[in-house]
Parts: sequence; C-alpha cells; structure tokens
Amino acid sequence: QLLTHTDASFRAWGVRAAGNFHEVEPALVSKIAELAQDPAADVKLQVAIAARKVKGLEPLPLLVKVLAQAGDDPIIPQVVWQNLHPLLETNSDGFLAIVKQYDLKQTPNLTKILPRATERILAAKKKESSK
Amino acid sequence: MSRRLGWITSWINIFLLVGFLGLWPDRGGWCQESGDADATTQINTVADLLLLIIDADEATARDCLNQLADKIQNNELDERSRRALSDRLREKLGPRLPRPGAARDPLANEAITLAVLLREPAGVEPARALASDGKQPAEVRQRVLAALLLTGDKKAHELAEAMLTQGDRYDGAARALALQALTRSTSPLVAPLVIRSYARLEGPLQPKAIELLTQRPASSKALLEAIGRGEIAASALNANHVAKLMASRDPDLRQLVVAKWGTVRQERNPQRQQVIDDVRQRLERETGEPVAGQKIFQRLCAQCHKIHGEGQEVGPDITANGRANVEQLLSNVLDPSLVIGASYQARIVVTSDGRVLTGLVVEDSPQRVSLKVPGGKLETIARADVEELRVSELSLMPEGLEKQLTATELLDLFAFLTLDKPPSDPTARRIPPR
Repeated sequence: QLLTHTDASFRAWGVRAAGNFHEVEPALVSKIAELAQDPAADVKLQVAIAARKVKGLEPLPLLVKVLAQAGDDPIIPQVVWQNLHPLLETNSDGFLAIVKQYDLKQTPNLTKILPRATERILAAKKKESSK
Repeated sequence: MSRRLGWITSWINIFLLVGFLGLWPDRGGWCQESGDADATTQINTVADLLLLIIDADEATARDCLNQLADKIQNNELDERSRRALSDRLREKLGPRLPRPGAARDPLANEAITLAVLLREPAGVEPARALASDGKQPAEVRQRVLAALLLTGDKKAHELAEAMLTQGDRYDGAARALALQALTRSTSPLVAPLVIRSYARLEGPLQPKAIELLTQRPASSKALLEAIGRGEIAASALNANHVAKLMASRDPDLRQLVVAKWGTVRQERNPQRQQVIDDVRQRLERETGEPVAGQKIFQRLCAQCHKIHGEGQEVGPDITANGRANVEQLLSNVLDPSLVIGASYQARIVVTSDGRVLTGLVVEDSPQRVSLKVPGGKLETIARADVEELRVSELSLMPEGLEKQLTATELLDLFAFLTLDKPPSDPTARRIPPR
C-alpha cells in the first residue's frame, strides 16, 4: 500500500522499509524496481539506497536507471555512485552492457560518472589474464 | 512539509554516512560478484566505454582521454594493457589525428597524446607540431611533450632544449612547460641540459630545476659537480633537498653529499631557537624593504605558499595563517619542523628506478601514490613502482632559510611578511610583535 500511495513521502517510506527488511515478496521487488522511474526524487533516492539491499533486485541496471532519471537532483548521483562503484570492480562488463542501452547524449548524469567509472574499473584488483 | 523534508534529510545523511563508512555489504551480500577481474577484459571494457563517451560528449571524452594518458605516463598500465587499448581505440582515434586540408577535430590534441603514448607512429609528427605550437594551451603542450620524451623522441628533446636555451625565441611559459615535461624523462641528456640552462631560468623556475635534478642519483651527482664548479650556487639546495639526496639508494651520491654538507640532520634541529633569537634582535634594530621582500617571497616561498592570492598551494595559504604576530611568524619561517600539522607531514618516496621524491601525500592507494611536490606539481607514482615510502621527520618547509639569503634579503623578506596586506596597499599595517 505504501509503495502505491499517492503521496511520494509514503512511497519513499515504503521503499526504505523494504530495504530494511532485505527480503520482501516478489511482487514488491518488481514494484520497487518500477519506482526507479517515479516522478519524485525522494522515491528514486530510496530506490538507489535499496538497490543493493533488497534480495531479488538487480542493483546495476536499477542504479543506472535511477541515475539516468535523476534530473537536476544533487544527491541521487552521489548515492548512486556510492552503491555502484563496488559493483564495477567485479562486473564491469555488465555495466558496459547496461550503459550501451542508453543514449548518452540524452542522459548527462550517466555520462558524467563515466570518467570515474573507467577509473574505478582500471583500479580494480586484477587477476592474471588468461589470454 | 518542512518536517517531512527534515525527516528525509536526516535519513539521507544517515544513509550517506553508512555508504561512506563502507557499511554496505560488499561481498557475500545480495549482489552476485564474480571475484577479481581479468586485466584484458577490464581494458576492453574501458576502451568500449571510451568509444561510447567519445561519440556522446566532447568534454567528458577529453577528461577520460587525459585521465588515461596520465595513467600510461605514470606507468599504471602494463604493456599488454597498452597494446589492448591501442588495438581497441585505433579505429576511433586514428581519424581524429590532424590531416592536411581537413578541419581539426575537437579531440585532436587528446588523440595525438594518446597515440604517442600507445606507440602509434601516426601520432609522432602531429605531436611534435602540437608541442611547439605556441597557440595551444601550455597544459596540452606539456602533456604531449612529456609523452614524446617518454618514448625517447630525439626531436622532442631538441625542442625542449630550444625552449630552455633560446630565450629570444621562447618565453618563460615555454621554459616552464619544458622543465615540467622533462621531469619524467629518464634520458641522460636531461641533467646536462637543465644545468646548462639553469642560470637563464626565471627565478621561480630555478627551484623547479633543482627539484628535477635532485630526483635521480645520476642527475643529483651532475648537480653536485656543477655546484663544485661554481655553475650553480650551493645555496640553491635547501635542507630538504640535501635530506632527499641522503635518502638515495646510491652510496656514492650519499658520500658526495656528506663530503659537501657534512652529516645531514634528519630531524628538527634544536638549535633553531638561537637563530630565531638572532633574527628577532636584528628585526628590532633594522627594517627591510617590503617590495624587495615580496620579490624574494615570489622566488623562494611562493613555490609552496600562497599569500594575497599569489603562489602555489602546497603548504598553507599564509595570508591568514601563521602570521598572527611576529613571534609566530619567526617560529614558522625559521623553525618549520617545530610543529608540523598532520596534513603537512612530508613523505619521501623512493621508486624502483631510483627516483626520490619528497612531498605531501595527496593519494595513497593500492594503485598509486600521489605527492604534491614543491612548486605545486602533482607527481603520481604507480604503486608497483614504489620501493620505499616513509614519513620525513622534517617539515616540507626547509630549515635554514636564512642561509639561502643575504642579511639584507632576510630583512626585506620579513618586512614583507610582517605586513598584513600587500606593500602596494596603502592601508597595510604591521602585524603585532606578540
């Protein structure tokens, strides 16, 4: 009920509560993923925070989606980055595949973090290449 | 509404704090992770991201390409990674290199520098032209010249030589960029060139030349020989330079230093209080000329300190710091190692190829160590190249400043430093004695 409430504060509350539970019903997981496109910045922010906490959510695409939709919000890109960068260390290929799905000319927030993302990928702990 | 906003803000703060403290589960949490990444895969991913960025946004692409160029110059990417990058980027960056009759691509400068660093022959000629093009920004020219010098390009060395020695053809900005670009070169030709051009260098560039020469054992020896021949004054080296030379792994160099300077103190000299007392007494008897003192400040102190908006910010901006009264000023200038703020504790880095750097740590990570060295330059050393990293007991601010100045110059410097505003300001007043 909270996740579908007309008041954005309640929706944000709902996402945060789900994040605290870590494990929620599959239907709620899908609903949280949909809220990445919520018009309210507060809700998107809570989705970015919950992305790596709720079992069943795919954090990489979700975080990129929230970032791409963040508009002028000054906090969302920072929270997304905090949650995104550990994933780049081990799943840079997945990140690339997701970025390819976006038109970077239309998603300046995503474009802006790419220098940091490339830096983070290069800084990742490496194992010897088999090639 | 405001209560709700306050509630949200406080939760945001908590979440941000948790994020910054690294409390999100990294491994074994709710995300699947597959262990350490494969180096070649990573490079290919970065290259593919770069290709996307190049098509999307020029400014971001410029940042990324420069960042990559810096990593290659700092030896943070191995040969295999460089080859993989080269293979991946060639098709995209090749057409961005300048061609006769064609309009210059907005990313041409970055493409040229990267091409040189990736050992693409097509980049060499445009790079030489870019390095000597006075209309291009100094930062761009320095980067490309350094890249060429790193590959051992003889024509680049000739260009750097001309910039340093042909005062009628090249200005001070060109000399500054040439000196910076030469810093990373391992060529044996660098030290003789810098020593030869030392006397012609502008005042603020001379300490940078000494910084360069004291980074490697061979160039340090050449410098000591030049001092022995009287070509460079012994006072050009401050106590920290000498301490840096003593940190070298080269026993012959250390012996030369001891022969010239005797035993070199590696910690604060307790006798500094006597120097402070002497200078205080002189200041009570005589007054210097603040305008002359300002020039001395620009020559010596502005390498690391900013005052009234001018100078480098390696150490604190002293417009409003450390000059509350004459007593504090005397102590900070003449006994800098008495109290050193934690963030101003100098580090000495010895690299695997024998280079010795002293500076303040800007970054100390598993990938690299970055130091801000006197003169304001950021030196980045790949972690794998760091042989030794230790904290210096001495402040980066050298002891013995009075030995680098004549008695009159010292009075002039203090006449400038004891004014609360620039000497050109008619409202400038003396700071209180205590």
